[in-house]
Amino acid sequence: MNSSLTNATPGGGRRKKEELSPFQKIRRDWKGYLFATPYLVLFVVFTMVPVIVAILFSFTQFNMLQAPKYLGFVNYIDLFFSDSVFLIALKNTLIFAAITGPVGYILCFFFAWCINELSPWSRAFITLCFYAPSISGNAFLIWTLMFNGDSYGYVNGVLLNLGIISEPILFFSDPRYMVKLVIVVLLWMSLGTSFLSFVAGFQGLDKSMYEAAAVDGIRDRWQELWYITLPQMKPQLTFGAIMSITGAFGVGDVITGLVGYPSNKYLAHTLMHHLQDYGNIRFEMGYASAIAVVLFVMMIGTNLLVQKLLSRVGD
Amino acid sequence: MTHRRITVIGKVWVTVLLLCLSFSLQAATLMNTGSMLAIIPGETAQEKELFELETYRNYLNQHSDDIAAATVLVDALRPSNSAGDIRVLDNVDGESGLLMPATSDDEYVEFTFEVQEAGYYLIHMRYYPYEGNGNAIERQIFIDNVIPFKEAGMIQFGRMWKDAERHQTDAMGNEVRAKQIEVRQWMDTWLRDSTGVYDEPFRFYLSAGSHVLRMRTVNEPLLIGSLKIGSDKELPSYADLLTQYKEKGYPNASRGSKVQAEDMDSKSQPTIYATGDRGSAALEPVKPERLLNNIISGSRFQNVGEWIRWEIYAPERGLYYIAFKTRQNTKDGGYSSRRLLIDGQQPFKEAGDIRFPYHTGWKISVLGQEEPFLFYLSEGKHTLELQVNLGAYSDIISRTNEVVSKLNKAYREILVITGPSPDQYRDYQFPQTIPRTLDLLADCLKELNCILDAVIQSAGDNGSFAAVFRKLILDVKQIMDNPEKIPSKFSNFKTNLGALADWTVTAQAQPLDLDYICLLPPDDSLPDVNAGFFANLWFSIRLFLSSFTQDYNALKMDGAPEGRPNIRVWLGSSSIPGAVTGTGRDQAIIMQELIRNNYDTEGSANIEFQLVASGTLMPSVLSGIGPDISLQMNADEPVNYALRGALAEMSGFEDFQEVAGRFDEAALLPYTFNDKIYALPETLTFPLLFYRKDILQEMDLDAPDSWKEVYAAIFRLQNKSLEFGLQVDMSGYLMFLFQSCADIYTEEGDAVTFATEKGIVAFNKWTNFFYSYKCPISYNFLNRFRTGEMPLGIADFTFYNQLSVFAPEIAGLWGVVPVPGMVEENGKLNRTIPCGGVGCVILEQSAHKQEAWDFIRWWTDVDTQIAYAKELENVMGIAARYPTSNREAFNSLSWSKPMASALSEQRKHIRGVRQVPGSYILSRYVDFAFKAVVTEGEEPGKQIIEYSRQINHELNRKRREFSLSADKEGSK
Repeated sequence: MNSSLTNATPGGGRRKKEELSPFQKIRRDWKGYLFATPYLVLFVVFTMVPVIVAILFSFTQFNMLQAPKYLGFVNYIDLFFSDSVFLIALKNTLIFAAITGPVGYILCFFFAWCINELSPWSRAFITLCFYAPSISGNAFLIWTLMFNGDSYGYVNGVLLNLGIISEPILFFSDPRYMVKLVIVVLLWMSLGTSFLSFVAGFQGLDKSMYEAAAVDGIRDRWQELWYITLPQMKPQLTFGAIMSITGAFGVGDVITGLVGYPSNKYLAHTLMHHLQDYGNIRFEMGYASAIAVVLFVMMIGTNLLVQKLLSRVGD
Repeated sequence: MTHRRITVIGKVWVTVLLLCLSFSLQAATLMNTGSMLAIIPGETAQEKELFELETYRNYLNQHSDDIAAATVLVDALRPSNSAGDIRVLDNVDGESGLLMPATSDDEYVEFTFEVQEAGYYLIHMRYYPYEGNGNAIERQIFIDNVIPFKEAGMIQFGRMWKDAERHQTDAMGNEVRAKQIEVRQWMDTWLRDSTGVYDEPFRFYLSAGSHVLRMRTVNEPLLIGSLKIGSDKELPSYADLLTQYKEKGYPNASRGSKVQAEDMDSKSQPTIYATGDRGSAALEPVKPERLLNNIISGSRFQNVGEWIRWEIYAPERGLYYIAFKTRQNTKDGGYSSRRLLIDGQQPFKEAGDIRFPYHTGWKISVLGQEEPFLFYLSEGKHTLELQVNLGAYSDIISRTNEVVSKLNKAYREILVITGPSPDQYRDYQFPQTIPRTLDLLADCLKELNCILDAVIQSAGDNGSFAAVFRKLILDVKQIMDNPEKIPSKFSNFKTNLGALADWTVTAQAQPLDLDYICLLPPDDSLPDVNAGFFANLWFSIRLFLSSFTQDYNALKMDGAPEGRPNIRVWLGSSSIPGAVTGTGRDQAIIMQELIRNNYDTEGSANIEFQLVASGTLMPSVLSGIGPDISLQMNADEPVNYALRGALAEMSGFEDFQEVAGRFDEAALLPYTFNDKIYALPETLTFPLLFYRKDILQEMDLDAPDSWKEVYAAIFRLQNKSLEFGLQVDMSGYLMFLFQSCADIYTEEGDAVTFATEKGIVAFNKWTNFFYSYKCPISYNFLNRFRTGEMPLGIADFTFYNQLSVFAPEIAGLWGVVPVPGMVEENGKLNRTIPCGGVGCVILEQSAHKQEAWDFIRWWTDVDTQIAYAKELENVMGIAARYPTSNREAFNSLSWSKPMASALSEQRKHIRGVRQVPGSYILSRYVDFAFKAVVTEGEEPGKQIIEYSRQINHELNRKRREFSLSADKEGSK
């Protein structure tokens, strides 16, 4: 924007601009920087600095009470080559992310698309129903009640009554059920912010486009969705994708609430858990930072990938 | 082990059942062979009898006679027989008395006396609460060698307390809680029910002729001044009294007077003290900027038997109304009941049943019925006393308690047939299998309907109170009408039965907030309870503004002497294991008061005491702004901090050995690393075996003493669908490990012993309870213990506090003994169990370590710990009993006798859990191994060996981390 402004200045403006040092540029555009300052300060202090510090710590051994000690790449080497739990956590994180990320994302979009056709009142009601689990933070605890390992747990009670099982199943520590249940609950929880943004996105669609498309000879609803609806909703799609991915990679507390910490045999252990384990329990901040850096790189990479994919929507 | 494999692979249900059974049988017989019979821990015959005795209500129904008119004076100083160190003390407060010092186990005095006519007699006693531990004074009454009814086996004698000083303020001008002191003086009482369920004094039936009255000590010393067997004089009714007043021509008083409720003359409990309320501008006294102790809060004055006495001045001789400014906004649809005594006497019958109905705000309650009562007072000082009683509730509650216990019995009898999850599609043939249970239910239904009528009559027919009964009546009725419906109604029935049991607890509480008491001249108008709109508005604005200037968290001291170093002490607001409430402001305030009163004057430093959020310590130490001392650290934390050089070594202080002698060695072990000790224990907890006397006796079982007996008991329990509760966390494994004489780690702490023979056998034993014996893995012990579903279980000893407070309906029905032990080769029982607790540390950053040590030495001292424990119990009740680690202080806490003996026996067999670098991993991997065995049926030995390898890996990894850092320090 600045450059277009300078270009607009007639005369020897172009030559003058090349001579300006960065400092002079800041002096000239100080009002813009002033307006950006509050955000920049917050961003630097609370995002940039922690990320850089974490990267630095990841090359050290740091027990939180004594000065860190430089180690080089030892943490990363240990992480990938001698930490079997890390590999479990990596696998689980990818599984949870692959299922709850894309599936949750598509479900969000699908449900939003479905209820878009409803009358405003019923749409508002159903939106609330879908969104409620993620607003009310610990609502997932209802699942612990249903799948309680005691014979008085709801599901166990029903199954016992029907004679299907003869003794209560410990749903949240039995490897046969644990991960599946966690995935179901995560999907249930995933209809969150991105769902809401899709619902809003559908409201903001330009109706005239559909008429124009009909005139241009669109064949069916799928074509309409692909060529008209989705391209118009790109901002919401991007927002939703970023929310889903960060959510899917950062999943941890919900799983802890369901299966305890750590989960039986690390079966539902994610990178987030592994990070907490080394940071809060073993007091190995350097190692925990290395895990955080890996997680960070994974999230950035996936985000770039998804944005690439989204850019091809409607092509 | 082959059995196991077949069970997993086979999946034929019948086979599974048979195999499990045969396996468990084998296990039990294996246990049986070669071990000696263990001795069942001592339990006195009286206790056993107590819960079997009939209730007072039934006792009264036996004889139709009336109260006898005759009175017999008994010479209390000359007992006809006695046991224990009984002696006469002269001139105690000017009178002589017979001392029962409560020093020997079976201590009693007997008095022989004669009555001329048969009938009911009351017993009057003059007593003096002799110096003891300050617990409830309790005695048992025998008439002719038997306890006539259950309640006579637990008669309590009250004490008297008062505020040491009133209206003391802290540095910020807020009033602090008054210190409580006991007033010892001669007191008169009719023997009556200490739970308040029976409002009148007890009547003892005596035939004409000679009788022996025996008084047996349960708790605490007592002096008997005089004993009288006879009757109380009949109280007049108010109407009679009023005619007397008129005949005598008493004038109406023209001037009134007032006393603030917080200015108590004396009270029955140290837990009754004034608290601050800034909710209304009309409270007296009140200041928006300061917290003044201006009311008696209902939560502190609600338990039956509690009383408060005030001194009030009557400005002239005449007739007055008596009015209280009260608020009763908790018992919706009910009322709080009180008895009024003037100058120690109840003036007329109606004064025994004064009701304060529900009202949302403050109001002036003038005592009276349709018309306010007139009270005649002479000029001068008088005492007014309010006693909490149950009034019309007393009958309802005692009957409800009986029905609940009958229904609980019926519940267990049905449970025997159906198990906890009945099969709805099966016809259990209840009329044939349990006809007597159905009869019992029919009785209960009748009784429930009667009680419901009584409830409606006394409290009115409103929702919440009557609903509890209606729901249960509906359940019982449905069960009665269609016994085959029991399976589908069973869980409802259980829930509503539990609700009724809870109701009796809530209904007994009689909370009433009091602001002031006044004598009103009958012709005057009532004082105003509201301050008016603008006064309230202005008050609220000032209250809001003052919230900006007040620091609610710092508990500062006033008047700190100059020139002493400042020691910062942090109390993390975590939770004390087992206690009902977490460490919080109440605890902090008590500690601060203790520091101010007992440490500040002679201590070597100024203490700056702060309550911080838990988890604050680590970051603050990291940034170098940590405290000097941190209190109540979890047992696994100190060594972790110490390894990283954050803690000062305590064993380095000069008089450490002497201070360490206050604790059990086991309690110090978690804080020891490389023979250096980094923390001192504050609390110490360990498990005990809790059992239901009534249920075990029904089944002719004793509380098991060894695991062999436990196996036998489990069979018997499971026959009746009852359960045994065993720890599912690592402490369960450690118990079996310790009992087979193994330690957790090798000497150096670089490997665990789980993969040794002893470790594997212990793991096998532990998991076997869950895999083969099907002990429940997740359960709420309190609930199941109450219903009797789990009549036997191992739980932390602090569970005792919870039971005493939250399960009054089974009071006297449960007992406690040390945990079962394993029989060793020499025939001895090994009952070792792991213990836990919290501790206090000195930070390495502290610049005043010696002063900090001085403080810790004072804090863990026996006197300080007793004072803290007592104060805590005074403020928060018995549920918050503090499990102090100081041995001497612990023994002086008011445990009941059987509890005390179980505790002291078990305390000889406790073992600390060592902390080594990486020990956090143990509980995790033991849990993994446990779950693999109980949920997947894996081979226990294989699992524990595999996980012990992983544990050792982590321990070694951690050791490398720290030996590296040690090298670095060495090279410096």
